[in-house]
Amino acid sequence: MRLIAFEMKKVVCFPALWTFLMLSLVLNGLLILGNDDVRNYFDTEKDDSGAIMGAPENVFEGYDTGVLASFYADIVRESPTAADWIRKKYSLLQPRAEQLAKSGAALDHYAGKATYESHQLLFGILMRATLVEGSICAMLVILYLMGYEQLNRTEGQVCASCKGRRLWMTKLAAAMLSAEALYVLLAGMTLAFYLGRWDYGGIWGDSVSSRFNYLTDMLYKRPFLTWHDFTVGGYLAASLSLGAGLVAVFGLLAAVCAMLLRNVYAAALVLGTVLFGGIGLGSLFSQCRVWAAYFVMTLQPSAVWLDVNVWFTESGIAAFIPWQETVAVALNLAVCSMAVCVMFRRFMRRDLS
Amino acid sequence: MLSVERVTKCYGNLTALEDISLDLAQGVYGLLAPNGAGKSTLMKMLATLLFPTKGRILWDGEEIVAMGERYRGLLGYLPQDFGYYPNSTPRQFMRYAAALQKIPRAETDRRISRLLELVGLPDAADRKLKRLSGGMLQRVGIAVAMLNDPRLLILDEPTAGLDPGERVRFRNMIHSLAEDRIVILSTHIVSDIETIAGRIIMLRDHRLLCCDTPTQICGRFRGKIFQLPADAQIRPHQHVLSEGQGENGTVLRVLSEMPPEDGVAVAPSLEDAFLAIYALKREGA
Repeated sequence: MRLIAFEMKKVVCFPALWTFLMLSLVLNGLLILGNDDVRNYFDTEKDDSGAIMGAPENVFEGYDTGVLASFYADIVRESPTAADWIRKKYSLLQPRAEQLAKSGAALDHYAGKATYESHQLLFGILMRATLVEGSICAMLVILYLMGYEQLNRTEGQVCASCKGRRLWMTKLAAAMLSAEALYVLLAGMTLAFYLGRWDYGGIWGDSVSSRFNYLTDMLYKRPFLTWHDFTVGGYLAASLSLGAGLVAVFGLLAAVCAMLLRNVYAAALVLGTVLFGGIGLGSLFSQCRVWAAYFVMTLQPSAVWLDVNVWFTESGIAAFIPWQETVAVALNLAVCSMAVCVMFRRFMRRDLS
Repeated sequence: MLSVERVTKCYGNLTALEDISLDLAQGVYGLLAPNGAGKSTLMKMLATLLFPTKGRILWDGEEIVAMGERYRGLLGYLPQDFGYYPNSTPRQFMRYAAALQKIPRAETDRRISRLLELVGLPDAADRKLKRLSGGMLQRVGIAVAMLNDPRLLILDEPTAGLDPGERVRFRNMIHSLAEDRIVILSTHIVSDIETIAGRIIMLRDHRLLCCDTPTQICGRFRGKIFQLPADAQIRPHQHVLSEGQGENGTVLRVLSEMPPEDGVAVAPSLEDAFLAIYALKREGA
């Protein structure tokens, strides 16, 4: 515990991190303030359920997910396996549509006509921004702590001490704790500012699958079909929790690069290349219609991050299986943890120059 | 006791050390060799930073790599290039080092104060390390290496950056510390170890040349070191080891099998022996 505290103190004394954190909060503030026109619309619409004419429509009643299945299966038709996966996914979604129809989720008001814009702002813009900021913080912290002894030329002394090379596991634990704490701080402060300006009173308990909420993918508009009955509050909590998992994935990925390359700058370069290159590769595979490879690419952490606004939904072409973002985060956590263990074992028997 | 058994270390095709065998008991061992001879490689292997390509290193009969934490708990190590956290004070840095050495928190501050006193830095305990001179930093390094009261103290070029006064103080300190532990210090400055090392380990051509007392090493050159005036003619079988200032001007110290004309036989110093061994090697003698 004493060493974890020492390592966390190094993080606290890392000025670049706090500068980045401040800039991130300023950016998030600007994103919130820049959408004040949406807020005014939201304020008017959220309590104005009486103004909506006619009986509320239960959009899930009689909804056939086969239409979606046909649409997306046709897109990936070059790969029969991918088309099968898509059809299977949407056949599993049919009972969910029936369940949502039965529960009357679509009848919930959420934010009325301002639902789509406010939902996209909170989950598409702010969550995406917070997640990328939190992930960058995590990678920064990991690379900084992992390379700290090398940068200060203390590696030899540390490795020859009683704790020895196992200190790097302590560093990893301290860095992960710090990264998650920074993510909580970022998300907490961003949400506090957002909710200070946007009044979500009376909305938290509404279903996120309200008839006013919808998804658009490839110009195809359809109801907000989720794999579980989520209220607005529950959906936010689930997104934040999965976000914490994704931040951990990015952190572990940085740890793997740092331990593999043993050079902070090279690790940062490789990490950036892997993450941005992965996004590019995903686009390339979809353009070239290599759907099996594209499917694998949708499991990578940066692809999961990009689709934050459709998490826990059927996600269209971005997902081939139910709960794909959750499965992808769990899979990435498992793979990265194993990779860290392998790198650590290698480091234990590696010559230090 | 520390035993090095037929240890070889290769970096790819380059052999840094070959077939080194040593047995070390309590006392001061000076590891003396020119730069690039493999001193730091040997020190780093003893500190478990490098692993032998062949052979093994044992502490009381047990392999040090297998001992892991138990071995490193007995070890104090000062690397050639002592690293530190520039914005920490010596006290803060030593607290971190104490945590790494698993020294109980209650005991930490008492040990730190005692060691800073020992290395003559009690007044600098709370100054930032980046504000300390090279010599002061080196003394902090020695204090850090002594923090766990090691039974094996490895000091890689510990006197680099120390002024003459500090060197003397360091030598005295090492001498007193060596009573109940093994101290191995590497250097290419002969005077650092001449007076304190019980045994001198010399490496040549990446192999062990000797592990003898200074007297034994100097004894090999008894009757072969002569002092000559600077203008004396040097014969082909004579090797100039060094040049210095005598009572009547500049003099040369020469290695020669036969007494040279105008030559005065002098007692060989460890520096003469060191220069003779490596000069002869350079000249292919």
